Amino acid sequence: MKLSLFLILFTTSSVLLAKTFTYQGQLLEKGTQLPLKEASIFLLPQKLKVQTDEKGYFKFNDLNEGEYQLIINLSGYKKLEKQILIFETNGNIALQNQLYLEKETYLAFETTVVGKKQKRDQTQKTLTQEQFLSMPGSGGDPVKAVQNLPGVNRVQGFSSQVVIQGGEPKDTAYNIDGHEIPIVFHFGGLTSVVMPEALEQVDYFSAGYGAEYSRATGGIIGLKTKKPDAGERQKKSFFFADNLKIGGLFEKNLDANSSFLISGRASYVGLFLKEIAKDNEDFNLTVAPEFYDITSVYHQKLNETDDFNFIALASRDTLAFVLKEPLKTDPAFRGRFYNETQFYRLIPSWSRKLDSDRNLKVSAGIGQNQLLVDLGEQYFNLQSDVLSLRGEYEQRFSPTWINQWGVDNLYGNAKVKIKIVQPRSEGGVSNPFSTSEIKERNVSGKLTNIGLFNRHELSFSDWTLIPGARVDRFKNSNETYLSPRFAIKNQYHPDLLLKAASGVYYQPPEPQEQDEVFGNPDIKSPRAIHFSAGFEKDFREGSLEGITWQMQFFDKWLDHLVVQSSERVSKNGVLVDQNYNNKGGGRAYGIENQWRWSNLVWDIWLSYTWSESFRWNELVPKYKHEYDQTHNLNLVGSKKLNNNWKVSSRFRYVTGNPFTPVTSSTFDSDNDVYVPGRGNLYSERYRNFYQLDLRIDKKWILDQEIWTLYLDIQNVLNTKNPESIEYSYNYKDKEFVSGLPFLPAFGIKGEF
Amino acid sequence: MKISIKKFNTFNLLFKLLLSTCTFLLNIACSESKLPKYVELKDLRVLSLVADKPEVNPGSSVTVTPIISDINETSSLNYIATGCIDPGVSLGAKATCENSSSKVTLAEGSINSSSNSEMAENFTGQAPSFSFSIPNSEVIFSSRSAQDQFNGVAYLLTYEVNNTRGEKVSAYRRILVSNKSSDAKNLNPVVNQIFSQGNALSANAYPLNGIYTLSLGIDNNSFQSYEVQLTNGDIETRVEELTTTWFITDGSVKYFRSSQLDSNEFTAPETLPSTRKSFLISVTRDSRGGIAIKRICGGCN
Repeated sequence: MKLSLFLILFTTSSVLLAKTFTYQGQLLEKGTQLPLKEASIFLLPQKLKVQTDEKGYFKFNDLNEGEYQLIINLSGYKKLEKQILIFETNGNIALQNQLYLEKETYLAFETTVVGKKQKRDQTQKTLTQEQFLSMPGSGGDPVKAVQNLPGVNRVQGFSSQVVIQGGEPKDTAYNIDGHEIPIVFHFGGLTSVVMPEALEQVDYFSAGYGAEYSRATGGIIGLKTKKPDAGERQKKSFFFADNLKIGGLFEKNLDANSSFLISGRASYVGLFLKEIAKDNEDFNLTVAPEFYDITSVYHQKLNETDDFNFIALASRDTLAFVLKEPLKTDPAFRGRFYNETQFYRLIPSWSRKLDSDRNLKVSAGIGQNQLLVDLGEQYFNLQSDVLSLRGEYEQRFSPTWINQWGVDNLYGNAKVKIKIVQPRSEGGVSNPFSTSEIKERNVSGKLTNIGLFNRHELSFSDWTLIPGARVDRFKNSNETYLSPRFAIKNQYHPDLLLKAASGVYYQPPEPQEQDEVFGNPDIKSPRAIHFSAGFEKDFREGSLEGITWQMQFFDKWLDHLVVQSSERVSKNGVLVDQNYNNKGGGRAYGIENQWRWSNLVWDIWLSYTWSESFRWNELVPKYKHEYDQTHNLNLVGSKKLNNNWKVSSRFRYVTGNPFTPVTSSTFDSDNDVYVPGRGNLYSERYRNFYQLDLRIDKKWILDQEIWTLYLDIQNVLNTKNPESIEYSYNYKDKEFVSGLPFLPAFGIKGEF
Repeated sequence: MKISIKKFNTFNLLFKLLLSTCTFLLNIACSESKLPKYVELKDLRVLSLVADKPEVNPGSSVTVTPIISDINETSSLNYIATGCIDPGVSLGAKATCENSSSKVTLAEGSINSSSNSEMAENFTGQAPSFSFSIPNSEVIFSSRSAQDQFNGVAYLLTYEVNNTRGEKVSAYRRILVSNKSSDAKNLNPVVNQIFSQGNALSANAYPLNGIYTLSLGIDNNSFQSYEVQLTNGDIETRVEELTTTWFITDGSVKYFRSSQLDSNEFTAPETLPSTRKSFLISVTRDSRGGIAIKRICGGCN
């Protein structure tokens, strides 16, 4: 028990002969300043008791002068005991004092999720803000944290793209609140384009995902912004700085029905890189790598049935340097390099509860994408205006039958100016750019992808059937497809859910693959047929401690895959470059497992996936795919310690990726480079990958603010994992290039 | 606002920590490779295949001179040259005539020290030339678009050379065959001299024991302007950019490639090796098949 005495100011409550006093105050949560309502406060030894009101206020009347002991014991908070002294000071009048209760554990600047969320899609896996912010090895990044989920392949080196179940990075579509965004990472993998604290969750949809989404044969990564809500405090703010960037978030309730948040981040590591690189003999860093992003959300409850939400998102990356001599491996790379990537999206949405059985939600994504790569003589300049429309009408016909109709359209209007060599690559080994022809294009084009979907959810006792279908029209390739989807689940036992899903998926070809100069206008959309089946078992039996286990088998068949072609084909009596054809196919299958054991202190995840992934084309019957990773294991553990310390760690073990060996080379006298001769495609593997990451978080809870200091160390053991190969100029000799070294990242966060 | 010394030191420490992290990452990215260097002539190399006419009419005759280097060879080299209509090398097709119906063996034989004067000097320099005729227009322009015929259809030449030590090098080049008028066709660039510290070097004036600024005396007409027909039929005029690659047997060069008239820096060896000659070679290309060579030999008479 604390022995310190608190001098309590008091009010004179009466002028009776025996003078009594009133002691009043407000009870708040330490750090967050949230009022604590319905908390019991005791004064001993008189055993007086009052309860705080809705705003945390309390009042003891008719107290005599003297010493009291104040005790507050509220579930989830540390017990507060204080001695208070009440006495008259010159008949003085005073107000109340504020009392702060410290929570047992503090999360970050999180959204509080109440209740268990019902998953509409059985393939969906969700990481909440609390989970991705403290995930070791991912630096608090929501999309990087997805790498820890089963079924997600590891990508090499600095890239953080999400490769789903033996697919390719381009087979994953990214959206924010249902609307596609062109990039999800700054500089291809540095950090996500949305501030993590502005997100409520990140959703991951894999094999067999439902009819609401399409245009991706691999899967979907959906970022969901948080609904602004500063709670009882009316406003709150957050600030952070780490060794790459700095940023902040401000959230405010405008009135009882409207609120907003705005967040922004900017990098500053470029300043240091520029300073270091100024004496470099190989290049001048003229514009240091810089990025910024801004995310803003406004929410208004229009009335009892209508809600309006508005998201504004912008992102920009820039980098420029000058090479003092052409690259050793490829003289095509010389002179200056400038890259600018930026986009913005404005996403208004409106939802209405039409009646107890019918809901309507419509939203639009309006924005612009811009990509500029300037290599001096060669350049790529893309500007496109984008409009995406989503609408969903849900009707409950009966307690056991829910029906949804929806539209999912994407329109684009692009201007492209290109003068660049078309790189040629096979088996992951590229020919030097110099060996390819420089092509030029100055074109405007429209993009129209229209999607209509219908989904039913039929419940019969323990069974739920989810049939659905989707019609997609890809106007550019003049294709219309019907894609059936079907999912089924059975609540076999309260703790055991059995589930299966299947579907057909079409992914429109990349614009350059359809271009008449760079590609082939006859190219069609690749197709995938997914099947998945598994279960979710909860061994906790209602307690807060125990194991959950999710297991899923997946099988994906791919056909009409777009592959590069070196052939010339006759068209209207003239030989033309084919560039691409649809003669590729593939298959990926595997078993995913996720075990999770948690209690109030520990949280341990083990994800393990066994899988195989193959591809084939007209020239090669069957070969291992670039992302064929037989074993993929992620073990993530965290422990909350006393005094708001938290230690977490991640261990990863992944089978080495296959690569195509270079077995010979030919000297190209025209361009002064050697062209690699490939052995059997993906017939060798890199050494198996393993890495241990560590993260330490420490919070300081002050009465009106919370400070967090964290250290996130990737590759604690400094394991040399080979990630790529550097060849000698003639490919006779080679060196394996290791990935990330021991890499500490540190940062500080303040919440006010 | 008062900033205490303690706070300032903390900031300083943070700054240093960030700087160290960046330096560490940059060092990793730019770490020196132990792989063989492009500029160093050690094993058997083909440095270029020089055609007297890099762009010709169908049916024209072309003479090709290989520039090779094999400073460790003491006996002989064997070679074979074949030609065929380009199977689509720029599209990623393998640069070979093996499966081509238009395959022709253009030259075949041995090179020894008596083959020509440069081969007598450590097999580094011009190898025996050979000539051949390009197929006529009915063959090489068959089914090719007007744009292809204007911009040029490639005739592929492959050259394989091997030494007595079991090393083999394959090389190729393309002869552009177009229907442009003769005066609009591509020509080889002309390099008159290699300059060292502004002074022209003669063929055997190999610099020694010092750091020399090297530059090239390139004929002004070498920067040709040329026309390219775009897919929409428009004609675009472009100007050639020359790139020079430097090869050495001894010493070091600052840049292994230089652009246009840019100079380079050569750190010459103190003395010539006693067992062989030393070479400094520049190969200048116009990126359209035009090539010019200059060779400076140390120890040659």
